[in-house]
Amino acid sequence: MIKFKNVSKFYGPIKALDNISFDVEAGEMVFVVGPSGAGKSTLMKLLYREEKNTHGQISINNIDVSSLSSDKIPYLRRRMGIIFQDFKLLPNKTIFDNIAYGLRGLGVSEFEIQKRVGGALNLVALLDRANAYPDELSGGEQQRIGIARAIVQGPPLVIADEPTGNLDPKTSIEIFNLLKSISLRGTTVLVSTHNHKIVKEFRERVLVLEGGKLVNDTILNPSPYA
Amino acid sequence: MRSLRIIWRILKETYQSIKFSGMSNFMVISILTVTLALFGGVLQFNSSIKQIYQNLDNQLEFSVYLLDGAETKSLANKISQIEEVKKVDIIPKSVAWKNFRAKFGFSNEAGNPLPDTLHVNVRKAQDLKPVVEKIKNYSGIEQISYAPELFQGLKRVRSILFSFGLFITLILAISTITIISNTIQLIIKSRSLEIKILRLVGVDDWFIRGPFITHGIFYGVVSAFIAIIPLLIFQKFIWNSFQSSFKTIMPLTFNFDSSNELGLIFFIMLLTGVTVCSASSYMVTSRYIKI
Ligand SMILES: Nc1ncnc2c1ncn2[C@@H]1O[C@H](COP(=O)(O)OP(=O)(O)O)[C@@H](O)[C@H]1O
Ligand SMILES: [Mg+2]
Repeated sequence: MIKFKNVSKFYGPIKALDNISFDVEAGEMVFVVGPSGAGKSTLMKLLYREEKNTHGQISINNIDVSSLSSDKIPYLRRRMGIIFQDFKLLPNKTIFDNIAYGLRGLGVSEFEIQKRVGGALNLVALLDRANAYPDELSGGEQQRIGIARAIVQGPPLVIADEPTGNLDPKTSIEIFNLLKSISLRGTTVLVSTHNHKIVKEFRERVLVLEGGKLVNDTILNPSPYA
Repeated sequence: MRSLRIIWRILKETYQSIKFSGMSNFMVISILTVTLALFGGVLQFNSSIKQIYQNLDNQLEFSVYLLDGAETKSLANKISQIEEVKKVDIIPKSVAWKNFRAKFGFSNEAGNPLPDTLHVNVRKAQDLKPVVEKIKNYSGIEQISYAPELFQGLKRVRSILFSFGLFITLILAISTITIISNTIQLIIKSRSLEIKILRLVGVDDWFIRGPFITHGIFYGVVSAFIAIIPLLIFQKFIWNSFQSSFKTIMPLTFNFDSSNELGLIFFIMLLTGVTVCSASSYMVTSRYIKI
């Protein structure tokens, strides 16, 4: 589904990504791990075209992302859900309205919005908090709202950039489990973290970035039955 | 359906954005109103003056005031012999005095200060001046009053005032654009998180920019409607009374009616306001909102 081929990204003279190549199959869950400054966020931003790669090719479902004209970018983004470290919830809107906000901008009917937001909230087990405001929720709950917002359009791809960066280890594992359950429903999930230890708890594919280079691409703890 | 919903939501967002701007709205609308009123005023002034002397250039009539004791009848005869003259009317001083008293409400019949007057009509407008030149030297004539002469000065005044007015308008317009841009920029900054969310969800560019541009259009429309009020007042009271007092000193055979011009001027003001505002908003959005 995702193909990176010899991708490099420069910010002026700074080399953030250095000749990266990898493929991700549809429905896979992939961790992108590396210390701060390794290039994790950059890799994700190239996927949703917040940034443009300097060299190489990136494609999602055979669509060349790197050469996409700017008027096509919204279509690319409608097919993916993005999750942030700082949640990016609107403090003056209810949970429901936070999730509905983008759908309203897309011209979805109120009836359809009710249905979809309800479904997404149900999936993250926060349906009863629909009328609360973000600051009435814990960090972990806020990130679950972030996840609900990302999947509300039923995207084939979810990109989560350090979704647990602001959360304690126990909550982090909950969030990763939630993302795992989403990938099990057939969604491709790309999730970054600088926490090597937590990743070891999961039996997943891990891309290790260091100084913009892809230094390792392995499946941790492969299942003995596989 | 979808487009209708989007338009409705853009309007709702516009309302939010106007509400958010609070006092800035008053500032923007005030300066924009002053600018547009001045701009409209310059156009109104210009078109009125232009109308006056266009009409004056077409004047076929002038007045000849005679000296006391002049041979009124024979002078009238002599003038009507001139080829370019179509007709000469004699206004005896008693009639002139009666008219004058009626107009200004004098009751005193005695002490008529007015001379006999001749109203001379020429055949073509361009004959007027040569005819005036010719009879200027006839004896028994005190004064000749004809309109174009009076307005040579007015032409000069008009072009000076017109340029000056446009210059001030331009300066005000630049400050208006700056203030609008700052206001819109402030809203964009304060809503940067919302804009980011909309962008990353894949909402169309025009939905994101739309509310800021309609916000600008709102300024243009409101200001144009306020700015036309002083021009209407000027038109209705000052201009009309100027005309009627003018006619007491000039034999004028036309009305300066600039009311249909005012409709056009309003349209120009509205169009200018809306264009300038939406263009400045658009420029700010393309500068501060990236895809
Ligand atoms: N907008 C930017 N301008 C310049 N340098 C940047 C920018 N974004 C990231 N960088 C640099 O690129 C490198 C990778 O950054 P990033 O992708 O944010 O790493 P990570 O998310 O792994 O911490 C770092 O050296 C960072 O300083
Ligand atoms: Mg990062």
